[in-house]
Amino acid sequence: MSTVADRTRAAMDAITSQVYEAPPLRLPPPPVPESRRRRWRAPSPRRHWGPWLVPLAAAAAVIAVAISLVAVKGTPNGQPAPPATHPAGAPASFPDYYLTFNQPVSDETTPVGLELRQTVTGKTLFTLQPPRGLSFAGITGAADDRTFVADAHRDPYGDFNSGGRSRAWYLVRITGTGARATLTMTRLPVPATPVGTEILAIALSPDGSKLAVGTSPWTDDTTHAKQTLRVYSVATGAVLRTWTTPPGPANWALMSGGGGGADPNTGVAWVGNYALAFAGAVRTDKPVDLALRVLDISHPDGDLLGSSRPTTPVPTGFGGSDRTTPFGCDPSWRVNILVIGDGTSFVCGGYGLSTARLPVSQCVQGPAWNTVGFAGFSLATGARTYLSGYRTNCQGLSLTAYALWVNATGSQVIGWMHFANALPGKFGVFSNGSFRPLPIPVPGNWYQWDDGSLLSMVAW
Amino acid sequence: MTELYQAHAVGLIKLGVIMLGDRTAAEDVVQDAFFGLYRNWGRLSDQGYALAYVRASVLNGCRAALRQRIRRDRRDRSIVAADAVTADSVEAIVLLSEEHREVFAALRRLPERQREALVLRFYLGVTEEETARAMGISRGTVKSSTSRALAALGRMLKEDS
Repeated sequence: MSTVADRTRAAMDAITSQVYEAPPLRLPPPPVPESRRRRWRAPSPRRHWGPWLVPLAAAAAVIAVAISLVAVKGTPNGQPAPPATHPAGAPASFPDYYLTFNQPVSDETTPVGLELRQTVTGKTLFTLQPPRGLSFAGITGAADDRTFVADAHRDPYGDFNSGGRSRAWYLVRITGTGARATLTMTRLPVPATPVGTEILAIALSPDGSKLAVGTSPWTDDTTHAKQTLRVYSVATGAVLRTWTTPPGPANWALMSGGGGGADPNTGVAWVGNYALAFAGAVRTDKPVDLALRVLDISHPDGDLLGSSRPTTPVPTGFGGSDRTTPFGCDPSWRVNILVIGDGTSFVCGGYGLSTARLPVSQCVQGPAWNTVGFAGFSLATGARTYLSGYRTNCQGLSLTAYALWVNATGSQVIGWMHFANALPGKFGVFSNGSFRPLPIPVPGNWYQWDDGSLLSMVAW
Repeated sequence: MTELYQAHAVGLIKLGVIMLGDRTAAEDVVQDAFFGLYRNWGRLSDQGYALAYVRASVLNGCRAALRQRIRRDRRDRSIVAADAVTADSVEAIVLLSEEHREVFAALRRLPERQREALVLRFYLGVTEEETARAMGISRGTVKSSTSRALAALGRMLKEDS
C-alpha cells in the first residue's frame, strides 16, 4: 500500500477513534403491513376510466393524426413544428416524444443506445444503437420535439470514467409519427471533445442550428478549474464562439459538473436562438451570490463572466432545517434552470417556505421546509410568477425537485420530486397545484436520482 | 434489523464522521438510514441487501447534509463550496495531530465521490462490488475514483508539506 494510503487510513482511524458505540436505535411502532393497507384502501378512481379510455384513446389518436397532417404548430421560438400525434388524454401542449438512454451503473462494457419514447405512455417506439465501440452519454433537444444532438464516448472503460472520455457528436432526428416514429443518426462535424475534458453542460438551440457545450478540464480541483463555453454550428461544426473563465474560485460559472455519469443538459439554457443563460456569480469577485447571467452570442470571444450580464438573482433556499427558509432554487447541487420560450422568465426546482395553497405530500412528520415545488421567476424583476408543488412535512434532508421541460407559458413543468429518500418520488407534469404522473423514464438508483444525473438521460 | 444495527451502526457512524466531520450529524444520518430501512423493509426483494441499502442511504444522507451545509456557508461566510467544507470547525479535528489534521483537510477537499470511494474501500474495507452498489456507480468508476483520490491526496499533501 502506498504511503498516501497509509497516511489516509491513519487519519481516518484518528478522526473516528472516539466512535466505539452507537446510540440506541429509535424506531416508531411497526407499520401496518402493505397488504393489509391495500385491502382497506378505496379503489383508485383511475380503474373506472380504463374501459372508457380504450375507445376514447383510439378516437383521439385518429383525430390527432388527422389534425397533425394539416396543422403546423408554432413553437415558443417561432419555429414550425412538424406534425405529431398526441395519445389520448395528453394535453396539446405536451411534447409527444422524448429521447432517453439508460447508462448502467454496474456495467460499462455494454454499449448504451438511445430510446425514443412517447411522453404520456412511456412506450418505447424505437431504439437506436450507438456507433460501434461507443456509448451515448448525453442528449439535448431543440424546440420542435424532433431534433436532438447526442454525444457518445468510447467504451470500454479506460483511464477516465465517463466524465473524462472523448466525446463524438451526432445529430438525431425523429422521422415518422405516432407509433411508426423512428430515429436517424448523422455524425456531426463538431470536433470530438478531447480526452480529459469534463462536459459541464450541453444545450441545443431551439431552432436546432447551434450547439452550446460547457466544459472544464477533468480535474480533482473542480472549484478552481477553468470553464469554457463554446457555441458550435450544427451544420458545419465550426466553433462560432468561445468564452472562458480564468481559473480561480472567484471566477465561477455554475454549469453543474457531471462528475461522471450523463452529461448535464439543464445547466445552460438558450434564450431564443441568440443568447444563453446560466447561473453565475453576480460579481466576478463574489461568487457566492448567484444571478442568472445572459450571454448574447453576438458578443466576441473572451471572458465568460465579463461577456455576460447578470439579470435577476437566482433565489436560493438557505438554512434548510427550520421553517424560516425562504423558497428558492437549489443551485448548489446541480444547476437546473429552464428558460421559458419567450425569454421573459425561468423555472427551477426548489424548496423552502411559502404561503401558497398547495396539496400536501404524504410524508412522515418531521422538521423540514414546508414546500417543495417548481417556481417561475421573472427574468426582469426576479419576482416569482408561479409556484406548483406540494406542502410537505417530510422528514430528513433530501428534498429535491428537478425541472426537465417547461411549456411556452411556464404553466406546465415536467419534473421530478424526491421526498426524503422515498423513491421513486413523483415524476410527471406539475401545473398550478395539480400533478399528473408520467411513466418514469429510467429506473435509476438513489444516487442518480438524488444528484439529478438521471435526469440528464432524458431530453425533450 | 436490530442485529443489523448492532453489527454495523458503529462502522456506519464512522463513515458519517469521516464524510461530515461531525459525530452528531453522522449519528442522525445513520438513524435516518435505519428508519428508511424500517419503512421499506417489506419492499426489499432480498433482505440480504439490507446492509447495501442502509449503506447507500447513509451516503445519501451525508451528501444531503453536506449540500445543506454548503448552502448555509455560501450565505454566511462568502466562501466557495469546497473551502466551506474544509473550513468547518469540528470538535474531533481539534484533537487530531498535525499530521492527521493535514491529511483529513486534504481528504475533505476531495470531490464527494472520490472521498466516498476511498472511505468505503480503504477504511471500511468494503469490496469493490459492494462499494459500487452503495455509491450507485460502476466498478470501473470505483476503481478510477479511488485511484484519482489517492493521486489527488498525494499531490495535495506534497503541496501542503
